[in-house]
Amino acid sequence: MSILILADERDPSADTMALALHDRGATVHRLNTAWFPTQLSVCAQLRGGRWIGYLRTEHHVVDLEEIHAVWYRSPKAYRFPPGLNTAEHEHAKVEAKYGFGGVLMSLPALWVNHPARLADSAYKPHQLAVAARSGLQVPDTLITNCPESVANFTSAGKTVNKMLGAVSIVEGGVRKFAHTRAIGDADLADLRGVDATAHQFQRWVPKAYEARLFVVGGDITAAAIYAHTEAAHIDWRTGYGSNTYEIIAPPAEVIDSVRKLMTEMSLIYGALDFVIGSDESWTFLEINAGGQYGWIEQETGAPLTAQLADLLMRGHS
Amino acid sequence: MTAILDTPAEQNYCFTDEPFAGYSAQFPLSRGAIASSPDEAPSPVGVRPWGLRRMAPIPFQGPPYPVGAYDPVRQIRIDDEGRPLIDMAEPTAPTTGSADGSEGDPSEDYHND
Repeated sequence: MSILILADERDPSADTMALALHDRGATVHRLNTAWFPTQLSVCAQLRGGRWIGYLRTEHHVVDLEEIHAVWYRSPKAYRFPPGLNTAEHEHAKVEAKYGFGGVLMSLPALWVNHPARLADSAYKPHQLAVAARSGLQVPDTLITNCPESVANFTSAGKTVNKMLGAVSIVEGGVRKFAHTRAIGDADLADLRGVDATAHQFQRWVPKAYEARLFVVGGDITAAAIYAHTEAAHIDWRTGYGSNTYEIIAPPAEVIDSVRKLMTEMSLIYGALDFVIGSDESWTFLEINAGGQYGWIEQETGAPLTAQLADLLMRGHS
Repeated sequence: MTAILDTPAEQNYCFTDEPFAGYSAQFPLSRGAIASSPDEAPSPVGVRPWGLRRMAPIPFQGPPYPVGAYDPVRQIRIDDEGRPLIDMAEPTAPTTGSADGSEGDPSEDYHND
């Protein structure tokens, strides 16, 4: 029996996980899909309803039949040899996706998480709808490319604008990032470009603090995130240098609803972000099915790596 | 006989540009390089998506995570003396650069988020 980690080789959390699994006596194979096809090969044949064969690198041979759990941890896009023209590159990418990716995603192993479920969960509007159906309180939200709808929505109360997925771009050789930001009069005075694509606007939820809640199989751990700057009060990601953290206990009804959400989305792992009001009400913002946990573990001592490692060790059993 | 492909959809491979299911059809989910060409400038107001107006470079905070090298046998990143990098520095750097739960980012999604 073995555990497959699919991750970037620069991922420190994958380093930590590889060591944790070794400590538990597991046979671990760590691969990055970016190694295919130049540093990673596949040879698989369909036998008895499952793919039998091997993944092979210079240093490792992975028996597909032996894999009982897979940790899908943001592996990277396939990289092809230079020299392919654009059409050849596209062809190679598509064939790799359906061939190499298809063999892997059909493995009858415990996936944390299965890539198809991860992909589905990336849609924020879908998350919000499922969360509301699961009983969680969610912010009033507008998705639109109509400037007049933005004006109407924002006139009803304080509003923030949040990216739906593309929070960063590389332009002119510089990586640019968009944090959540409150919409002001200057923003509303010129809405040209709203019609260019979909935009998300959300009613501001008054907050005492925020929390990131982790679901790891049956384990639930929540960490309060206390912001200490004005910008971090809007978006805690601007305050890593000053934020403070504390393990807290979510209300029972929130836990129940989170479990319903995880079930409906068929997710094993998730990092969910909440706003907690001064009345201790919890409002769901989003679920990050591949969300980071390492810094919360470091700040609070919460045993998240251990929970994940134990989950992978158990597999489907 | 050579087939003539008339429409953009026909000229593309099935699913790769499908607007909804494309995510699920991509394995891995990382979209790879998304950088604009160096000679491309931001589009004028009215053409450029409104949400991009507030995109800004983010200053790096804190000490950089050591580079090290990946040890393919031990399957972890190590320093020049073979010590695990995670023993040398904090396991995540105090910066951010990706959409949580989204398809991934080519260089920074191993950081917080």
